[in-house]
Amino acid sequence: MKKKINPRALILLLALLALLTAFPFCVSNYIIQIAVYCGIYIMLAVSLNLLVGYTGIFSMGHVAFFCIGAYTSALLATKLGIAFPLCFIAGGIGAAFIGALVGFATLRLNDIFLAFTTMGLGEVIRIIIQNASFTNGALGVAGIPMPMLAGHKMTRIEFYFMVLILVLILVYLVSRLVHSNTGRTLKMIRDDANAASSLGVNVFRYKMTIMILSCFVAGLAGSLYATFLQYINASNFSISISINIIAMVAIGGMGTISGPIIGAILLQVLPEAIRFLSNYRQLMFGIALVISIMFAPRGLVGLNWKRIPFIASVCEKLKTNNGKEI
Amino acid sequence: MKKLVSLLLVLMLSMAAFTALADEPVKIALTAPLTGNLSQYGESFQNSVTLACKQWNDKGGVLGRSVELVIEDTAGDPAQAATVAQKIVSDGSIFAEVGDFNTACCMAAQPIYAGSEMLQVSPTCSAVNFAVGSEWSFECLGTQDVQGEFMANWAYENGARKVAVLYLNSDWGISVDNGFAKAFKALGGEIVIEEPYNDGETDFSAALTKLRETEPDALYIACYYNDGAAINIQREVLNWDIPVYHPGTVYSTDFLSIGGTAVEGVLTNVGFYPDDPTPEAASFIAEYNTLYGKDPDYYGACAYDAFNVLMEAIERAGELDTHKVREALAATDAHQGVSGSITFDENGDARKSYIKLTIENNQYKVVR
Repeated sequence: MKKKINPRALILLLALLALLTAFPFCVSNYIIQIAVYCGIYIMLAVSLNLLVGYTGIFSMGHVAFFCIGAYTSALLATKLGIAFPLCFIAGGIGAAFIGALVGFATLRLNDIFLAFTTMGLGEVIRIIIQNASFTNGALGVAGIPMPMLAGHKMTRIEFYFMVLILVLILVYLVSRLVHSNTGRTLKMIRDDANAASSLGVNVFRYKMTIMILSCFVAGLAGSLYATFLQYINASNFSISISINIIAMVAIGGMGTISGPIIGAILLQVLPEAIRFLSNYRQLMFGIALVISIMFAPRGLVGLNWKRIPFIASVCEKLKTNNGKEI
Repeated sequence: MKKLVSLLLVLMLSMAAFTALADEPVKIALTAPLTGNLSQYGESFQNSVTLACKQWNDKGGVLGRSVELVIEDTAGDPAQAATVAQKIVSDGSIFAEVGDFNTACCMAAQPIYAGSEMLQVSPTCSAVNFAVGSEWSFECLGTQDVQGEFMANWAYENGARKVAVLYLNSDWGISVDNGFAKAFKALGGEIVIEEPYNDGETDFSAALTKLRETEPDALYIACYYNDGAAINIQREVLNWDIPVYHPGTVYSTDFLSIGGTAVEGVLTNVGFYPDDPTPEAASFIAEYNTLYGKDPDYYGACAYDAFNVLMEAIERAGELDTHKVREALAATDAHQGVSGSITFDENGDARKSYIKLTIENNQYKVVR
């Protein structure tokens, strides 16, 4: 049976798309810069959510794969002069490859052990990169070229659209994945891995697949980051980034599609929005996080928004319309 | 009659608009790590540049216009530095930028300023690949090549022929090591070992033992003051009496208080020496002290100079044209700053002067 699409929801979606398309033409490069960071962090948060939220693999070292993707792409572009699309894919594959190795060694571990191992891994990779000569060591990689598009260097607006399209594709694919049989199996593994394996599910294989997929996406995000910033340094990839991504997933709402997206946007935009507070910025940011964890422990998506009258009325309208349609 | 009145009105209005334009302040952005791990340096930048800006306004501003600072925090994070750079170039009313403190932030912001043809004057970015990367980038600390040459000459004059180098593994530490090693080898000396250590390490006994096995005449240790004190204390514990040279980064009263007897006789340099100041530096230190109740540090002095060389370049250019100001800035010749004399080379790196320092009775002392 084919599902009917709710026309109001469709209109809402189209309006959102139109807004996202029109928006970069109305704002300065500064806002576009933040929007691109949002896109990159959405990719990271969505990919981490696949691990943490849907499969119950508590990885604290997501920055490692972000870093590998960034360095793979940056080194291929600067040292060998390879075009961006290949660097981009190579960044994803490099991260997925290391992800597979790490997964093979660690996915048999449980909860807290896995968290500590992945956390250590993040630091180890950063230190290797800081000391190795082929990565330019502590000097970092400078002069990463912007991608070419129809004979000219991509502008920031064009880069924004590239990221936007990639994010839309990613979110669509992930929502298809988690609503498929595979997705339901993943949730079963998350809720009780022993029960799942007693029903004949190959838990390790599923976990490996998701680990590789998630690392691949993090690597792609790394490639975008390096290309957009045009300069990377091992100090960009400290453990605080891992913690930041986890915070995005947790604050937005684990195991939901929209949660990590909202979390990523919020955690990227909030520090910029309160920039005028200057020295008190970090303090305010910390307070905002504590409040959100105290009052929305299941994430912003998990809050009972219908208690707010305006949102309740909108939901009601959407529902009645839905009723008529079916 | 009506026509005449309206004509007069239009004339008056346009005059008013014109004077308003002339009165508009010249905006200069300062980016610095005001929060995060490097915030003490950011605060020092902010204090010094605010003071410099106030002094220019007290003198009547630049080109007859007042000067306004726009201060932005980058938290020492390169991604934020790029965002802030984008914010500054998008603003449209900001003429030039002074900052940032650390290399990673300067490098991440560089393509954005270069793309918008905005001057980027970093007080302290001494990495060899920074200023050469864009014609719009300048730095006022001096590359490690110049400081390395100064220290290599001094060590060679003192009779050292075999030097062992221990350096912090960061972009800065590598540059210091390379600068010194290159100059020392050019003099005919020998670098017997170049040993890196990582940020956060606290036990240096293994590294020191390794250096000792190479039997050097002297040590050159590229570190900040806290690591420097720890290294010297551990060297004293190992009973290893050898001349030790440091770059100017160990110049701090904390180095004396932590190091105690272990840092006695250590040799270092400084561009800016509050206890024996030049007349320019003396007035800077006095005013800084009245405003903030403490002595400025070396990085603050560099930030003060960076702002001043930029302002002087604007005065010399005679108008707010970024190409002309860039040319005037590049032509800066022997600016007598508080952190030493500044002349830019063809890349935009400052060639600085240095003062030799040693430690006697737990006090810094100038070596003449």
